[in-house]
Amino acid sequence: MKKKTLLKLIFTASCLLATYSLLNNHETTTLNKLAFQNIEALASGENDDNAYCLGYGSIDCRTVKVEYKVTNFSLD
Amino acid sequence: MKRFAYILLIGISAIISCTDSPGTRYPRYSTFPNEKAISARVIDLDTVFFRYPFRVAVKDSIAIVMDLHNTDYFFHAFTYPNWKHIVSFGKRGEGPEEMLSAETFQFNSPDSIYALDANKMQISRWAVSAENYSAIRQEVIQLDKSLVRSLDFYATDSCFLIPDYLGEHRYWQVDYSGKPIKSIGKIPSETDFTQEIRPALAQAWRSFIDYNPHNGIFAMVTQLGESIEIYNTKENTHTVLYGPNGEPQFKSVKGEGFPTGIMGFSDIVITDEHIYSVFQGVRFKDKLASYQQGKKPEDGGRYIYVFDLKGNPIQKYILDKPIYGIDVDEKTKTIIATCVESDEPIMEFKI
Repeated sequence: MKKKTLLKLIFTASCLLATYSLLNNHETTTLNKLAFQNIEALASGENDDNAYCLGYGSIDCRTVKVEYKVTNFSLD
Repeated sequence: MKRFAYILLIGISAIISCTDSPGTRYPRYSTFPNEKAISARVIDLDTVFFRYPFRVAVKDSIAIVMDLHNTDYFFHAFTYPNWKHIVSFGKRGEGPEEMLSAETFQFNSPDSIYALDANKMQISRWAVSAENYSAIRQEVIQLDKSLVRSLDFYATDSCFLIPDYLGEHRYWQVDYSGKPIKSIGKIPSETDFTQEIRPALAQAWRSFIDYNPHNGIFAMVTQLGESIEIYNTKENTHTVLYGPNGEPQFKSVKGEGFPTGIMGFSDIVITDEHIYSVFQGVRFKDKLASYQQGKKPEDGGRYIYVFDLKGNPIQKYILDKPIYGIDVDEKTKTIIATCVESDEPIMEFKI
């Protein structure tokens, strides 16, 4: 009986953890995408890698110097 | 029996936790014995408009500023200390005499100013004359294609020192005809990456370098992390140091590196006694959060870290303005710095 309750508890905890991390991940991506849209595009342009070179800066990105080098509008 | 199993488990856990993690191969610094806040004196410059003043170097009576994003000329020479414009050179363009990009430069003397164009894979040498208000290109060295892309360099008496772009080695000795002579070292990551990830690793470990021929110290700092390497070429030693932010963080997509951690160091200068470096230390996530709030995040470092030649932290300067490139004169205790954030592109700090 005790063993069954313990298993149920572990299962419920796992489900809650999985749901939380899924929601949390989604939130981060949305935040990044919105933030990236505010950056002045220097050499943006979608390509097969979904890579973007954004803003004026000092990071080397496909022959230009930018503020951000990202894929899929995300740092994750 | 059950008790014995518990004791055994606790014993094993204690041994594991007391053993050094294999992930921390290199020493860490966390604090500096001395900290000092210093204020900028803004240099009055009304003759040249800079978009992104990235590097500065002073030699006797001439100062040169490199503008990373200038639409006309990448380099601008001034009198020093009066900062009167002499000449602009390194015209941006696609012509044979023009430059596609400018990464950095080395100012040895008025007739020995080396400039690196990574997009053309060329190092050109210029001569500037304050009397004639002229800058003339003296020679061009075409770098070998096997180097792929060179993002920094140092010209010694016998060769160029150039960081490796493919992640197989740490840096190259390249002769004055542009041919690689010797590869040295490897990227001091604490993670063992597979062969396919190495180009991405090298991009993430993009480093700024400097060399001092008097003491034989060659050092590098990472732009996208907090790692420092010191090669003592006279004693043949190699020191690696990690700061609190650790090595550059990145993700690899088809062998290309995408930074995910911090903006780290932006310049390095080695004097006869010390290593000076500009440090930013801002997380990309925090910069993006600023954009999210409708604010433009600051670009530039508010710290100058000083190490001795063995890599021991000596001094941390906290600046009242964000800066990028520096030139250090220990005799006059002066640091000249560039700032990309305002209409005050050049400033001076007394240390």
